[in-house]
Amino acid sequence: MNVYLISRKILQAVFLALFVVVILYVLLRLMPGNPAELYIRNLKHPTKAAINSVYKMYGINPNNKFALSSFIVYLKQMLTFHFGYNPAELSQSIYSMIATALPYTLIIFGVASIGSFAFGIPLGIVTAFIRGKRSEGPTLVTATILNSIPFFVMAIIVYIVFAVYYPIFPLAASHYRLGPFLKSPSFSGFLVLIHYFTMPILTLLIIEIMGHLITMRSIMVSVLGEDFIQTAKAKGVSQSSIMFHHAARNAMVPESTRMALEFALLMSGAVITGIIFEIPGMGVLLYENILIENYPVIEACLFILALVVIVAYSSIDFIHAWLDPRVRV
Amino acid sequence: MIEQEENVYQKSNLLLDIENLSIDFKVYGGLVKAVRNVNLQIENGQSLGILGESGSGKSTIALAILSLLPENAVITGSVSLYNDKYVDSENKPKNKRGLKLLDQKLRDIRWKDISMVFQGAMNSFNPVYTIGRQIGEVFRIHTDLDKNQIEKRVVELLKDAGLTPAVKDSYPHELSGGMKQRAVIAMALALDPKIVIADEPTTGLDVITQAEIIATLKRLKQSGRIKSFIIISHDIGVVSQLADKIAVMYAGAIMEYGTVADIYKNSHNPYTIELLKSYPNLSNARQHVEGIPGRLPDPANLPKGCKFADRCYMKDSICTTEEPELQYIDGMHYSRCYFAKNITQNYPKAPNFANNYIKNTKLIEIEHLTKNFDLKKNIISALYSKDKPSVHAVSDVSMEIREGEIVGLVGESGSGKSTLARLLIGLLKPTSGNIKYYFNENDFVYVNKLKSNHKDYIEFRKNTQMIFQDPFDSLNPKMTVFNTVSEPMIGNHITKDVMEMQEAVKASIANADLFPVEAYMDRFPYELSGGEKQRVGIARATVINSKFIVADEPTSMLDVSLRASFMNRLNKIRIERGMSILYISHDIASVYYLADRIYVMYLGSMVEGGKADDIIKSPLHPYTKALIKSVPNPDPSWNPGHIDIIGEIGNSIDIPKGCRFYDRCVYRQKICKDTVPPVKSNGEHWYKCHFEQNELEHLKNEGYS
Amino acid sequence: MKDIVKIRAKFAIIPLIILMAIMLAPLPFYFYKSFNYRGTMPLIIFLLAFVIFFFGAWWDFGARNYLREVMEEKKQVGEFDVKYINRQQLIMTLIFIMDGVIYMIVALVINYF
Repeated sequence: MNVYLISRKILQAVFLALFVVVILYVLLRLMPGNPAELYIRNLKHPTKAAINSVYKMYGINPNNKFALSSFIVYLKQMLTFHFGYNPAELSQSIYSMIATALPYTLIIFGVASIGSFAFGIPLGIVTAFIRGKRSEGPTLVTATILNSIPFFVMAIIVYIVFAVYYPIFPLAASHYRLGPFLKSPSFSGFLVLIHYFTMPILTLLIIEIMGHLITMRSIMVSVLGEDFIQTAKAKGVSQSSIMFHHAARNAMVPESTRMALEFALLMSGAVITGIIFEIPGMGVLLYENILIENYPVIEACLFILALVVIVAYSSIDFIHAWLDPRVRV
Repeated sequence: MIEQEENVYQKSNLLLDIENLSIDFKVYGGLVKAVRNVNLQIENGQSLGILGESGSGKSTIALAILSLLPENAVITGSVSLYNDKYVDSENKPKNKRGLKLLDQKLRDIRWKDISMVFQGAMNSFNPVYTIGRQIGEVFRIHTDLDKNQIEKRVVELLKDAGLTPAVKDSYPHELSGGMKQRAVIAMALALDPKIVIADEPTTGLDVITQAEIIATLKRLKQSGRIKSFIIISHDIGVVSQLADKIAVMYAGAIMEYGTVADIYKNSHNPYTIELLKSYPNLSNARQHVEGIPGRLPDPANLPKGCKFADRCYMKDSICTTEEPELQYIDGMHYSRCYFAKNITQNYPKAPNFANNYIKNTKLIEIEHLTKNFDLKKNIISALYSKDKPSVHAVSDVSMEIREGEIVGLVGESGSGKSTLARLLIGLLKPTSGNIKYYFNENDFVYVNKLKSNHKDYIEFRKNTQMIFQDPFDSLNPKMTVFNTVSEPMIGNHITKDVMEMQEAVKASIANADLFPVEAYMDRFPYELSGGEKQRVGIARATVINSKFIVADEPTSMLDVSLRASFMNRLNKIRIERGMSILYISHDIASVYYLADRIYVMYLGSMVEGGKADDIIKSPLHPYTKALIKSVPNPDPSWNPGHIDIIGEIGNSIDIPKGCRFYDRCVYRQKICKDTVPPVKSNGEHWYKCHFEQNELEHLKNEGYS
Repeated sequence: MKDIVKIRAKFAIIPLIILMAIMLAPLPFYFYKSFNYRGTMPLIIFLLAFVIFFFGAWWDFGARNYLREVMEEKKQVGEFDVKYINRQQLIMTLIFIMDGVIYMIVALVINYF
C-alpha cells in the first residue's frame, strides 16, 4: 500500500462517517415531530420566550422544516461530540449517557467479532480437512441451520436454556453496572462480568462462527483444487502445513472481505441481544429513546454505533492489503 | 554365477521400477480405467519420455509415481525406488501407525528423490508468497540449512535456470510465463533429486520461449544437474529432444516402448506410426499428413480387444476379441500389436489435387493498414495512462489474398495477428489504411469506407466468416449444433425457409466430416468432443458459401491426431469451393503444411513475406530465422542451441522508434534504433531490414554490441 | 494547459454542472410562488455537498475497469503504475472535495444573502 492509497482510504472512512450523519438527519427529519418538541414538553415553565430559546438552540424554524440553520447546529453537535442535553431528562448530557452505555455494547461487539473470527475461521479450515468423510454432511447441515437462525430467536433459545432451565446465568442484567469494574479491575469483578455477558456474546458467537465456518470451508475447498496445492504436496509439504500455510493463507483473502461485511451485522446483533438480555448498553438506550421520540439521543447513538463499525471496517482494508500482494486499486 | 552377478548389477542400477501399475478412478456411474498394467523401468542416469494424446493416462502415471493421486483412485501394482516399494497395492499399511510411517516416507521421497515440473507452470506457485520463499520452503522441509545458506542456494538455483537473482523477491504474478517456468525448473532442481518429472513443461508457451526452455533442460541434463528425467508430453518434438527411451501410451496402456530411434525411425506399432504421421514437420512439411480417424475410446467403457482396433488400418478379426501383449522386437524395443513383427507402413496417399486452384485474381487486398488502440480513448483511461498515447496493435501492414489461396500468418502471441484478423472480417475499424474487397478483377470496394448498411458491405460480411481459436468458448452452450450452424444464414438474411435452412445445414455438417449428420443436428456443445466442436466451427463458417474464411489459431486446442485431419478438411474445402483462407497460428509447422504463402508478424508489423517454401527454407529476417530455428523437430539430432534472439516479446506501447525488432535483434546497429527499415525484396520474397543477407552474416561474425 | 489538467477539469466540472441544474430546476415553481426557494434550497444543496464528498471518496474513477482492460491487452502492470493510478485517484478525490466545498458555499450564500 502506498501513501496515496492510504490517504484515500482514510478519506473514504471520514466521508463515509459524514455521509452517515447526513442520512441520519434526512431520515429523522422525515419523521413526525422535531428534536425540540420533547424538550418543550418537559419545560416546567413553557413561556413563549423559553420555547423560542429552545428552538433557537436547535436552530429550528417552526415555520420551515428545511432550515439550513438546523442542519448546521446538528452537524456541529455531531462532529464535536457535544450532543447537548437529554430533552427527556434535562439534567443529563447525552454525551455522558452514551459514555456510560457504550462500553457494554463494545464488549459484546468486540468479543463477539474477535471470537467469531478466532473460532470460525480455524473451524472452517478443520472442516475442510474432513471433506468427503462421513462426518462432513452432518457438520455442514448443523452449521447451516445454526447460521440461519435470526439473532432474536437464538437469543431466546439461549435465554431459555441457560437462564430458565439451567439457571447458570442471570435472568436479567439491567442492574449490572460496569463502572466499578472499569475503575478498579479485579479478578472477581471479571468473573461477574463474564457472568452477565456470556449469554449475549454466546448468542452472537454461535451464529457468526457457523457463518465463518461455512464460507471459510467452501473457499478452502476451492483453493485446495488449485494447481499450487498439488505442487506443494509434491514438494513434500506436510498436510497440516498445506492446509494452514498454503491454502488457508489464500482463502483468507476473500474471507477478509466477508469479515468486513460482518461487522455491521454483528453491531446490529450486539444491539438486539443487548435489548433482550437487558444489558444497560446502547441497545436499551436506543430502544427506550425511540419509544419516546427522543431524536437528539437517537441521532447521537446511531452516529456513535456507525463510527465504531466504520473504524472496524476500515481496519480490514489494511489486513486485506497485507494478505494479498497482488495489485488492486 | 556370472548371470547372477549381472543381475545384481542390474538391480542396483535400477532406479525406478513401476510394476503392473493400474489406476482406476471411481466416478459417478462406474470405473474410469486411466492406466492399465504399465511396467516401466528407469536406470540411473537414464531418461524416459512418455508420449501420448490427452486422456491417454500419461499424467496419471506421473502423479502415481509421486503418490499424489486423489482419493477416488484405486491403485494396483507397485512403484519402487531402489527396490524400496513405496506404492504397493498388496502390502498396504493396515493400521494408523503404518499409514503415518508411509506418509513420512512419501514426504521424504517427494522432491528429495523425485521432483516434478507441473503442467501449466502459470499456477504452480502460490500467489501470496515470493518465489524465493517458495523455493526456500523445499530446503526448510528437507534439509537443516540455516536462513543464509538457503538464500544462497536459492540464488544459485535461479542462476542455473537462467534467471536473475532478483527474481527471488518477486511474486508469481510479476513474472512472465517463461520466467515462471524457469523458476519451477529451478525449484525442481533444488535438492538434486534423482528423478525430475516434467509434465508438459512447454505447453502454453510461445515457440521461442519453448525452444529456450528445452535448451535449458537439455543443458541441465547434459551437465548432470538433472540425473534422470521423465518427460511427459503430447509433442514428439519435445519428448525426443529430452528422452533416451520413449513409451508411447494409448488408452492407459503402453503401445510401444523403445529408444528414440526405435520409435521415431523404426516403429513397429500402428498407433505410433499413425501418431507420428499426424505431425507436420518443417523438414518435410509439404508431405501429406493424415490424422487418425475416430476418437479415443471412452475410458469408462473400454472396448474388448485392442483399444486401438477401431481406428487401426491393420485391424484383423483377432484385434477386436483379445488385447495383444507387448511383443519383443529387438534390443529394448517392445510393441503391443499382433502384427508387430511384420508391420506395414501406411503411407498416406497424397490426394492428387489439380494445382490450379489458386487463381490470379485478388480477393482481398490491404494497404498500409494501421490499427491503434487508443489507450486514451476515453476520459478514464486518459486519466490513468501516463504519456503513452496508443497501442500500435497493427501498423502499416499490406498484404493480398488471392482467390483460392491459403495465406499463413505467423508470429508470437502479442504480435497483432488476432487484431489483423478482426480488422479483416470487419469486427474492428482500422485507424488508417484500406481494405479492398474484389468482386471481380477490376471491381472492388474499400470496405472500411462503407457504412454498415451499404449493400456492398453486407455482401462483404456475407462472404467473410471466422473460425475461432477456442472451440470450448466460441459455441454458445445453450444452442444446438443446428442453431449454431444456421446462425450465419439468419444473420445474413439468406433464407427464412426452415426446410431450406435445414438442407444447407445438413450439407455443411456433412462437409465438415461429422457423420451421421442427423445425430449431430440436435446435440448441445457439451455433448461434443473438442475436435467435433471445432468441426462445428467449420460447418458454421462454410454454411453460406463464403469466399473468405479467417481461421484464428483453430488447432491450438486440438489433440495432435485431430489436428491433421482438421487441416486436411480445411484444405479440401478450399479446393472444392475455391475459398480463400487466412490461417493464423503460432504453430509454424502447421502453417507451412497448409499455406501457400506466409507472412511473419512481429509487434504489429509485417517483417517478412513470401512463398511458404521460401520463408521456411531460406528465411531472411532475423526474427523469422529465430522463429524457425526454435520449432522443435522430432529428429533427435535437432538442437536449438543458442537462438539468436534477446529476451521476450515487448509490449506494443513502447515500440522502438526504428526497427520494431530492435530490442531483440542480435545484429542491431545504430541505424536500426531510429530509422524504419526499408523493404528489401527478391521477387515475391521480401523482408524489412537495413541489411542484406551477406551484411547480416558479416555482422554476426563480428559480434554484436 | 497541460493535458492531464484538462482531463481533471473535465471530471471536476461534472458536479458543478449538476449544481447549476439543481439550482435552476426549481426556479419556475419559485416564480409561481409555490416554492420557498431560499428556505429549502440551501439545505438541499448543503446535503448534496456531502453526497459529492462521498462520491469523490468512494468512486474508483474507473480505475478497476481500466486495469482490467490493460490486463486484457497483456500489458504488465507494475507497482509503479498502480502508484500512479492511486495518485490520480487521490487527486480526483481532493478535487471532488473542492467541488463539495463549492456546493456548501453556494448553499450558505443563498441562505444568508
